[in-house]
Amino acid sequence: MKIPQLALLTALLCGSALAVQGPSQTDLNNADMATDSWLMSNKGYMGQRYSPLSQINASNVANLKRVCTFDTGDDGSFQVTPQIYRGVAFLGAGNRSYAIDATTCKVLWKNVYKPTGPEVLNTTRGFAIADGVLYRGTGDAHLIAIDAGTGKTLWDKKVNDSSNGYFLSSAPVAWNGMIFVGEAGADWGVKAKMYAYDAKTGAQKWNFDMIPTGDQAGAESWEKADSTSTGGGSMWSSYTMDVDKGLLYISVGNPAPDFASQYRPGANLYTDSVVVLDAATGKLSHYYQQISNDNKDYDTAAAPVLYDINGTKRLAVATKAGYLFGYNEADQTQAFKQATIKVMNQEKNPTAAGLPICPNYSAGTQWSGPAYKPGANMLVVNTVDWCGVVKLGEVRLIKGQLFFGGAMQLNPASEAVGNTIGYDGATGKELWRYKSPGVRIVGGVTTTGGNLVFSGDADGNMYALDSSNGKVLFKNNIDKAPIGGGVSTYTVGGKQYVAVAAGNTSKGLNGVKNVTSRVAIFTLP
Amino acid sequence: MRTVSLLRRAALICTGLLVSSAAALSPVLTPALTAQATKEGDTMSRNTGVYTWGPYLIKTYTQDIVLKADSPEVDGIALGTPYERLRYESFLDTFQDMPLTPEQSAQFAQKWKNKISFLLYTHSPGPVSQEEELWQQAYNQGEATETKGREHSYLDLYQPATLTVAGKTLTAKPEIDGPYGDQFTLPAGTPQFRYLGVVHYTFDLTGLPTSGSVTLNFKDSGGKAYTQKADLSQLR
Repeated sequence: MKIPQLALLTALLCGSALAVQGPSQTDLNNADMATDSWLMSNKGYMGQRYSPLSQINASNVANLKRVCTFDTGDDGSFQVTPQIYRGVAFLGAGNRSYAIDATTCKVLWKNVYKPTGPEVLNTTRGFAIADGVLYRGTGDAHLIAIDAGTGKTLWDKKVNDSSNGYFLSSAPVAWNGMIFVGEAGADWGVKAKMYAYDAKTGAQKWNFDMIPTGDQAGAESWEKADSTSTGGGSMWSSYTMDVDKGLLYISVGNPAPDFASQYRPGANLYTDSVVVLDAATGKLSHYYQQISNDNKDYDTAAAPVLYDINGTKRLAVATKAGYLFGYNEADQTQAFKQATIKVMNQEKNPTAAGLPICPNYSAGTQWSGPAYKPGANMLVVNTVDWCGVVKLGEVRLIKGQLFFGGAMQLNPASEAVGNTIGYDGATGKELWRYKSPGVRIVGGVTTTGGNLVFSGDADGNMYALDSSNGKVLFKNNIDKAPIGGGVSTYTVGGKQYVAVAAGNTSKGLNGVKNVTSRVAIFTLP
Repeated sequence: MRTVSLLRRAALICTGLLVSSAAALSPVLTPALTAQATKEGDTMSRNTGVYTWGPYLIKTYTQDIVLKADSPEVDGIALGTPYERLRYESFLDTFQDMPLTPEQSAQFAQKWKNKISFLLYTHSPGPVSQEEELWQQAYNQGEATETKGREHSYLDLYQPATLTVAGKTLTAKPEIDGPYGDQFTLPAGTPQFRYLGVVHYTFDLTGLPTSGSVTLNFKDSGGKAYTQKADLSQLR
């Protein structure tokens, strides 16, 4: 065991008040390629979810053994990827935050947040970690800072009023003394903003309106200005950064109301988009919109991934509508748009008889975005092939006019097909596909230098695929706990471990068996 | 000045097309009116995707998604004439990518011969979470009806309405479209999920005057009584 890991673990195990000092900004800048840590929800700023580690590889992964399990004892949403720093795994589940030994699952501390306002949805997708402090959002729209060494709450900042539908589900990102986080709640009629807060004090540094009004750029895309008051535009998962350029990449969800798009004519910027901001100032750099005037609740929910193809910066993002988009950052053009699953009737209005539509709004790529495998120039995407029927529903009288909504009915869950798919990062061409008929795949996907792809499904199976062809090399059931979180891999004392978050029983996996949230840790014997 | 004059004329023409304020109610649509109503609805759907009531909306209580402190559960009352009902049907069918054929339009016009319908656009008096309990209380007291395939709601408490035409009183049972769910904004600015739905009262005016004033009487789910007059002479 390395000295810093030993020191942190010893301090935590002994209940010592030894302050955790890191990770430093340099550590965070190197997080994408780090082997002894998994510092962000999507590992590093670029969001590649790639570990260069190769101790566990295609030739020996079948020998993986579970070494321990940490059961939170609670059910509900569990959509985090275990975040690792110096031998400690940090986890968020509902209002609780945990630090556990990343090799033995021993609980080191537990922090329980007590909401002061109504909780809209208490899903969390993880932490920002910097300079000995964890930062996370809450179901009543607060941003809290927690001492990474002791679990004590350091400060608590109310970001917005949750009684108006606001909450924070995304994993914040830390950069240069700032914490970036955005609001969620479009389905509750919010008008969302992205924020930067001072990491030390919780003071707001800047904010950016995802639903522009007045003389803000993009306001003209709301042809009926009144409709911006409940415009939507949630930030659900986490964020990506180009630290060399100081750019912050933000996936923004659907407009509200979800279905009655006539109520809000126009492109409805910046909903269903990836927005790129100057991280230092919060000023708009550019954006890519995936769907204009969405009327099917097809969020761009998962964080984008940044990668290089022949020295050119690329961005890819996968959406609930079942598409993988690739963009060329040099000239800000779309490089490809690839359907990952069956897509049908997305542009049509709902009908009284019911319009068959693919995917339904609980399918496609939900909160877990693509991983990238450098060298192979390969993107790997989890997506669910699952259709539904949208019926002409709600008729609403507003100012002498009628606006028409729709009600989406999901096809039986047994018809859903989970997929983990490899794509050429340059062209979007499909390379291979692992299919899981009748079982959804919504958790995070991870690539490694051992030519492996790790992920898990709604039946609780964690699996490892050969990254060259998608063949299953390892499968282990995590106590039938539906997997909605991700897999992280890291070394402690020079030995590679794999940790998976299982036991997600939230809306995104409705209909699955209720099993408590847990983390299982594996290694080679 | 000339520009203003032209704009005023254009506005008047548009108003005439959409509003038809000068035209009397036509209880039986001629082929020309059938074609005109069909085209109006079709055009409205293709151009905006939003249905504009015009003068057929005879009373408005709530203008927006914001509920005022004393606003009733009825947001507005519309009067559908044979012409308007065909216009609406044409709008809806085009909206669903199934535009009416001339034969379908003629059949629809025939179905609405001599009929008018009052449409009440409503929202539940309280949040959706309270609806089931309130419905059960009303049901126990014999005030609510149960309809198979429809969720229990305040809409089940609507009772028959009456229409007075030339001294004669007609009665119609409520036909319910709903409940649906959506956000409303309370006076304090807080969003709240409410049910909403449309209550239809349809009357057959065969043998009765189709011009002049008529009076609709009904009660909402809370027993609040409404009396609404309408001048059939003002609507096509």
